[in-house]
Amino acid sequence: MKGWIDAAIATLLRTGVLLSIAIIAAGMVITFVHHPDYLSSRPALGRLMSPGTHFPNTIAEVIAGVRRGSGQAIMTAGLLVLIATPVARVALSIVIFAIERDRLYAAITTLVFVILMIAFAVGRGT
Amino acid sequence: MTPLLFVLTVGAISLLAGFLGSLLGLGGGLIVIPALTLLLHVDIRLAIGASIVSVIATSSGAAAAYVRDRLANMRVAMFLEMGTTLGGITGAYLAGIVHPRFLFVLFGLILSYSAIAMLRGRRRSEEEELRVGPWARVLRLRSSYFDHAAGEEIIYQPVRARIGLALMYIAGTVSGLLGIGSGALKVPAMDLAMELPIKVSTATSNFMIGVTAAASAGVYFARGQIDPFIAAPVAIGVLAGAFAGSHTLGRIDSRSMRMTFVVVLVLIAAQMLLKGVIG
Repeated sequence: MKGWIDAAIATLLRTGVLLSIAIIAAGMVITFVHHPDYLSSRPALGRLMSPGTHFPNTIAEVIAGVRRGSGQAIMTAGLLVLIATPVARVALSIVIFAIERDRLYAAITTLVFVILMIAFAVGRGT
Repeated sequence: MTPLLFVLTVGAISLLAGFLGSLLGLGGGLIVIPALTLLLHVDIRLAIGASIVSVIATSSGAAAAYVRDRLANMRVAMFLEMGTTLGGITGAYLAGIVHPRFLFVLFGLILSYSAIAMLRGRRRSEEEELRVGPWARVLRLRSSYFDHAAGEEIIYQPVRARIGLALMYIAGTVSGLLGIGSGALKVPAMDLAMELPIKVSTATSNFMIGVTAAASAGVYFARGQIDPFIAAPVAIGVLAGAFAGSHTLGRIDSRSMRMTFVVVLVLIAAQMLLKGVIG
């Protein structure tokens, strides 16, 4: 494979990872600024860690939380960027194989992308 | 423990898990889950949710470096991802049906087998190396990489592509079921069945793991099993560790790496079996 392909994929992965880590770290700092008791209070941990605690679990909920300036929602948004990074890599691979006129691998990669979309649809149903 | 101390502790554990994970082609989840549940008494469901994120972090963090060093074989990865992602969906479905203890035992047995097989090493003759099937030929899987330890360009020809694809489907299913990257299954499948060099297997496994885990992560997110207070320090710690690990891989000797991998497999297998039998 040519050098630019490796460079494009490496850049995409690195950008996704750095972007997500920046968002997650910002969310973490904002959380501790909003809740100074988290630095010293022991019972606070139990509330954050119990299985019954509700965490943002829809994209709409995360966006609403980010608009409110919620540190927890910003952290979750960063985690979602991290989850989306490998999916974006597959999408980019389709384009690359298409440009290279490699029909076999363009088809294989498109199939992987379709399977991923099906997986996300299945996830919503459970 | 205060939330601040908790976050710092989880971050430190994840740093170590990310380093070892990227060296061995494991997602890091196999280290993160026991550490969170046994040492910090985190609920297992939340530990799995954080683990799946760490799996993506390890893969993406290390993959950028592997792609640049031409260690990961992208054709092999794309071809095999058809198996891992389909398996991921199957696993997500099965997760609600099968008893988890059965899975732990099954996984422990597969890992034990992998460890023994890798310890013996592959015994291949010259004739065997020449037998390249029609799939491996049509798929143009042949490639090469520069080995820093050996100081030379190594050309390799993957074989048994169909068996590799079938094994990847199983690895993907396990990943979906247990919320792990299942690199421990992917590496032996490529190393033993497809006869890829160990460094290429490890790098390609790391490259594929992120896509497999992304499918599972969507399910865990929708189920509300991703606690940002656990997943955030895990993601950051693992990323930093994976970055350090990926910059070590090209320079360490294949033999010592193989032995390290076998020891880790045995330890994880024992832990899995114990959990499955005792509950």
